[in-house]
Amino acid sequence: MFWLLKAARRLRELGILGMNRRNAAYILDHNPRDRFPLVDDKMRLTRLCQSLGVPTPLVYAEITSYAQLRHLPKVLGCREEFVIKPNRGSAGRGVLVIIGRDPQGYRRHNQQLLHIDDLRQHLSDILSGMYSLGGQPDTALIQQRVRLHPSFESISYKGIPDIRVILYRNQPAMAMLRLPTRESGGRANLHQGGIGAGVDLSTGRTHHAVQHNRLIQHHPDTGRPVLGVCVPCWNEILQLSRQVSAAIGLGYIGVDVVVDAEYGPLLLEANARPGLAIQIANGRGLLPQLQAIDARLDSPILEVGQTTTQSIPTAPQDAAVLVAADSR
Amino acid sequence: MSRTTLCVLTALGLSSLSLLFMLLRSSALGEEVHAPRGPGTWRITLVVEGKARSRAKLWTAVPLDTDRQRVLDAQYFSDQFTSKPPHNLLGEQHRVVWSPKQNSELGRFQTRSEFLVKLVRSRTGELATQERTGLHAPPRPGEYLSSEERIESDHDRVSDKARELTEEGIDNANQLDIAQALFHFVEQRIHNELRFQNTPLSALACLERGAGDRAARCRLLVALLRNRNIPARMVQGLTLSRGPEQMPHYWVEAFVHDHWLAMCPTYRLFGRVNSTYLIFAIGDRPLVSSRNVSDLQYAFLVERLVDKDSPPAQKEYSARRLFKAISLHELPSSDRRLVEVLLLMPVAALLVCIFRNLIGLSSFGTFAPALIGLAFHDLNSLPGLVVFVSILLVGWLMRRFLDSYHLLQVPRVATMLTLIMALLVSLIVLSHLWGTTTTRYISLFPIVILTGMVERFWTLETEDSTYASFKTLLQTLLMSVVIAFVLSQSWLIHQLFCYPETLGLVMAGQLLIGRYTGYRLTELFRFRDLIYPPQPPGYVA
Repeated sequence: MFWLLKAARRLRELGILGMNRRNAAYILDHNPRDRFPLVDDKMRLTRLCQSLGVPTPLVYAEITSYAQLRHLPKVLGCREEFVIKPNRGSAGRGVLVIIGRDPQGYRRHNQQLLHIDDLRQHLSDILSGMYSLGGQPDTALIQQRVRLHPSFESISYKGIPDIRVILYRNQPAMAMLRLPTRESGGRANLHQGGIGAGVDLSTGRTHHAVQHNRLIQHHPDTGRPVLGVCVPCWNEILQLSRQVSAAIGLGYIGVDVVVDAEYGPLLLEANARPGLAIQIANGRGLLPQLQAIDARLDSPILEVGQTTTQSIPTAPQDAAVLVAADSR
Repeated sequence: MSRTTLCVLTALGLSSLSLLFMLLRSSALGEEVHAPRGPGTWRITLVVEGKARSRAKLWTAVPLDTDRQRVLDAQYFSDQFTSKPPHNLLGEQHRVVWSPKQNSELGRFQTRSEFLVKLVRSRTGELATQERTGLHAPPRPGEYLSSEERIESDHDRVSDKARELTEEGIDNANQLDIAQALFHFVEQRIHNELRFQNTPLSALACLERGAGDRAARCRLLVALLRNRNIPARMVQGLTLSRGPEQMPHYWVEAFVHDHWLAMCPTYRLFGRVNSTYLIFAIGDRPLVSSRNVSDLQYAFLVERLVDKDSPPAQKEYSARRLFKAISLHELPSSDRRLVEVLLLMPVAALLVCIFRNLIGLSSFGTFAPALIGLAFHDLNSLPGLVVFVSILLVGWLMRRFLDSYHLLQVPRVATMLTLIMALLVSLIVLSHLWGTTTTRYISLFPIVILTGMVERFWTLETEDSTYASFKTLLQTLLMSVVIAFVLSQSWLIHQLFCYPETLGLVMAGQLLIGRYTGYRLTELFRFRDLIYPPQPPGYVA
């Protein structure tokens, strides 16, 4: 019993954000429900990004009805690579990556061969809502396949790493790089065995990495160090996350970005209920960052174009200094 | 005002309101909060004594809980034996099973069962009960017609007598006339006698002797009625009247003109019996039976409860009348059982909140554990859950098999449902062949959520891992078992039933958990590496 209380106190000291607090104090209080469809529906998000000028992976086609499945070969044309994903899916569920075409069929990223009928079946599963939030009928997207950026070649296994940025009141609060492993089957999901590497917000370098919540230093499959890796186009990534977060209008949001070898950073999706594992990946708690952002935005001295001689309350100032030191 | 403050204030308001209401209720009703008193309320005590040998076992009867006679409370005491009360006060198996306590010495024992019963006066002038359900449902074809031990309805002598009695002056198409003629024969020609031997007298012996005790005369009447193709059965119970040490009483019910018609040869009642006839059992099985017990003796003590504070003649306060009127004890027994389940549901939901938000367990479906727990709270939880889990696992194997068909979602779930139902039906048939009853472990409403759980189980297995789905299954089961255990506590049901305003407290708890922003118990484990950072490999202190 005593041990539990001590552990809880230590977590509080570290500023770890727990699930209850995330839900009650951040999601419920800062994320208006009417903005959720914007992030849950990938097609709407893509259109929003297009209107903002934020690059996203190209959508080749949207399958909305079973009737369209009959003309699937025509829809796919002679494309060699593409990604099939549910429009309203989550956590990478139902995503099928095709990396090439053989006379026998389509080749998945794990070299498995799929017949056109298998694709049809998968699409019809998506349409019937098997992968969507709440099991509602869904539509399927056929999307451009992102190419692996050369900086990530040594630290990813058969998949594309992505960068998750958590923004609070449109300010980046924490970021991590998610790396696929053999165990995660090429998917960059942490609970399936992917690697989470905390990224320093100011430098864009990884400073801490975990797999299955345990500390690691090297990629288990490639053996290369995962610490000190520099995420390419870091400032652009932060910039586009801010833009998207502001346009969506959610106060607490997770934005997923991938870096394409050719096109640079592309916004992949956004999440209105981003998970808490990012704290483990970074080895620190979110709460100090969130409180610092609150202090920075609510403190009169930092408001643009305003000068004041008022004495500033100590606590917010300390927090502001803390975040300043942290980001330098 | 912050949302948390608002929440805490609302919770405080709710709790004080419900506490206030409880106080008002208990001061207005006094002792009657726990059980109503007044006309028609009786306390019946059944005391059994005997000498127990090794592996002794004792079965004692319980009054039936019906719309006409409501069992308000049942309590069982014994220093030497443990009691296992019946699950359901209506039905065939409504007996208390007593067995010796683990450490108690064999030898003399005493058990005491106390029942608080309220008799509802039936409307006068009614020939037979008008109800057609439960106890008074029409017999199934062939039921209560055949000959059985001590009721030799197809014996030649019984046949001859029955034919002779109904030959003359009786319209043989009118079953009421036949029943009346047979009743008069038994009532007038068969003499009443007292018997002290333990061996019961059969219908045939009673006919040959021309005399018998009250039980034997009833057996004879049943045999004669059945011989004339009228479904008939023995009813056992007590005729409640003040005075100690009552004997079990026997009377007969015959199914005539679509109704069960009561007749009592002992007190010469035909058509209906007094409203003080309390039914303990249908059939000829003794009210108290035992195994490996000698010197078995039992007696009933009957007391009429009259409220000393307010004799019925005196006018009652209006508050008291109001609280009495809205008391759940006033509901008919079927409604009372429903209300019990309805009252337990919010408690189950509160437990789910505790499990998910304070402890941090996950489950298949938010309230599935609450439903499962509630479904098993009045059964012996363990076998029920084992049946439930095995069906779930077999269903999961079927789901894996079904996957190769690539069916669309809704038809696939429908197919799953059909498969699971087929599985259940075969299970029931098999258990019948083996001579056990499974049906009491299968209630309809967790079965409906079972199909959904199979689907979720399979989805989680394919998307994450078999480990993850079994982990979630285990957590779901843990939650269900704890919920079933908590809901089976009789004090909890009693409290909720006597003071339904306890729901205000339950809701206050739910509101408070709704704004709890502290850590969940499992998060202490999840973030353990942040609490005690491990040293990186190659680190030298």
